[in-house]
Amino acid sequence: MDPITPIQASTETTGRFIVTFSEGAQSQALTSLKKCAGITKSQLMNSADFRESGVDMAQIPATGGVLFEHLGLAVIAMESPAAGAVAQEAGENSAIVAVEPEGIMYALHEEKGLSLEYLRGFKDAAVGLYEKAEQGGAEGELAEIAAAFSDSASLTWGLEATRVSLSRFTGRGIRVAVLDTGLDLQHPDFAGRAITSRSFIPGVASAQDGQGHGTHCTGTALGPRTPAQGRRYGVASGAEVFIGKVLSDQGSGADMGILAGMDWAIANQCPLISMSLGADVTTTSTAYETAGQRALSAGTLIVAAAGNNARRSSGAFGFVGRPANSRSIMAVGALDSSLRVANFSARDTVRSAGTAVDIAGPGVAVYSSWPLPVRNNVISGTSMATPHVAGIGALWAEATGARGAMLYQRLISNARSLSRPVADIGRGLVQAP
Amino acid sequence: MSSPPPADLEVVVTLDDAYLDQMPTIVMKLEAHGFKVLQSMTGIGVIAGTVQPDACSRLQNIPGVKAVEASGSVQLAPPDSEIQ
Repeated sequence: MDPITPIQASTETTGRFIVTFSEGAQSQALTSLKKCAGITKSQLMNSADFRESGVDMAQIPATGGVLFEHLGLAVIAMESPAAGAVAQEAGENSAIVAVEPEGIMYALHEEKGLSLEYLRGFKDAAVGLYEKAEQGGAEGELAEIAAAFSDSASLTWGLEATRVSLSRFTGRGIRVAVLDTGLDLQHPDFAGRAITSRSFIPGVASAQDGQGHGTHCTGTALGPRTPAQGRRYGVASGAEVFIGKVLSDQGSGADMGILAGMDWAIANQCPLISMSLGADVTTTSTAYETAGQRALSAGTLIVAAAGNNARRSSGAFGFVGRPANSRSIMAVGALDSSLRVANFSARDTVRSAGTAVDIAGPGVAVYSSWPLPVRNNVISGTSMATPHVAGIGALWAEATGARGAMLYQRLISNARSLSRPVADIGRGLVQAP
Repeated sequence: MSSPPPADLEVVVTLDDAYLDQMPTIVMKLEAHGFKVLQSMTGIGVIAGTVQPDACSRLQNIPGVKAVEASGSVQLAPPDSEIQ
């Protein structure tokens, strides 16, 4: 869809950098900052000092920044070489997880100082810094030992790779909305589960899935811990199931119905919305961007598929489509069972701040539920990676009580780093608590 | 003889944050420009509806309207596709 009103998206960055700390590693991270970039704690204002009025970014000194203790990150004005030196230190086993240029966003009303920009600025030009940090191994396969997972008799490879199989959390008490083609409401794997459903397709009363895609995605996000037959494939087996049918049995849907489904899920206080849908459109949409932001303010995190428009084997890397390209929506890329980027998984090649892939999930040869009589099916796509992230988001929501932007941060900061470009997998492979 | 008017366009209207509690008033102002409401979404501050294409810029100028965008759509791959 071409917006009538041109969107004022900018590819500029502010000259500031977002430095994200490992969980509980703030003091070590500050030591690293001092060592690598000469930034001392006295040059960092604490977000708590601004109280309810929120942080006024205009008050940040020319060299220095703001420490957001609750978020485990800092926004710092520093020269690129200094940022590069910090980026060299960053990594999975470091106190600093990542250093990324802060993007300039178009006007969104700021509430309470810290808005999405400081969480979601992560999206873009990190690539440059990342490649600097990687040096030499920038392109092609790195000599990382590929962890190969495979489906077992009791588990899908995806549940193992994301450590869902080891988690004691089930998403109990957490509502998860899947906006898709619906669910096979008679599927035995959902028998006895409380299901709230609604159709947003004109003329269609039931959220019954006559296509398959929605049943597969719902199965991954919310399927049972112990299916009556076959291996476990579902993440948040204890979560409450909300099914919004926003795509017809022909697999199509209009923005209006999708937005209405989001509105419904927010009204029902679902902390997670899983949207394995998108259009191959490079521009962002104010409606989705704003809806995502208002969702976060209301405590709802929206997770969406990055898109399947890449053909990497032919040198085509695609782009992140709409609505996943919204800054306020978490975009999910797909990995295979050797944790390689899937051939089809879209890369952030647009390089607009905020439009990148945020995180990755299992998305190749994914076993899940399918409408009867077929019962189960194995398919691939960023659509399959997305509900892994949404389901795992429910586990984090249960485990920590985090909602909205805090939940976003939890998912991102706990992802497993991999030696793959940030433009492909964001912060890495989603991990269960 | 004038030619028939062009078909109404399906659009999505996003409200400014400061006007979120004034949705009914803004709907009335939209309707004054021939906008027909299909769905008001109070949780996200978005109104979907139809309007004559040449009225879009006038909708955009109503105070409290952040954006007016054509409604798009998505299409999944067929269910028997390997990649979804």
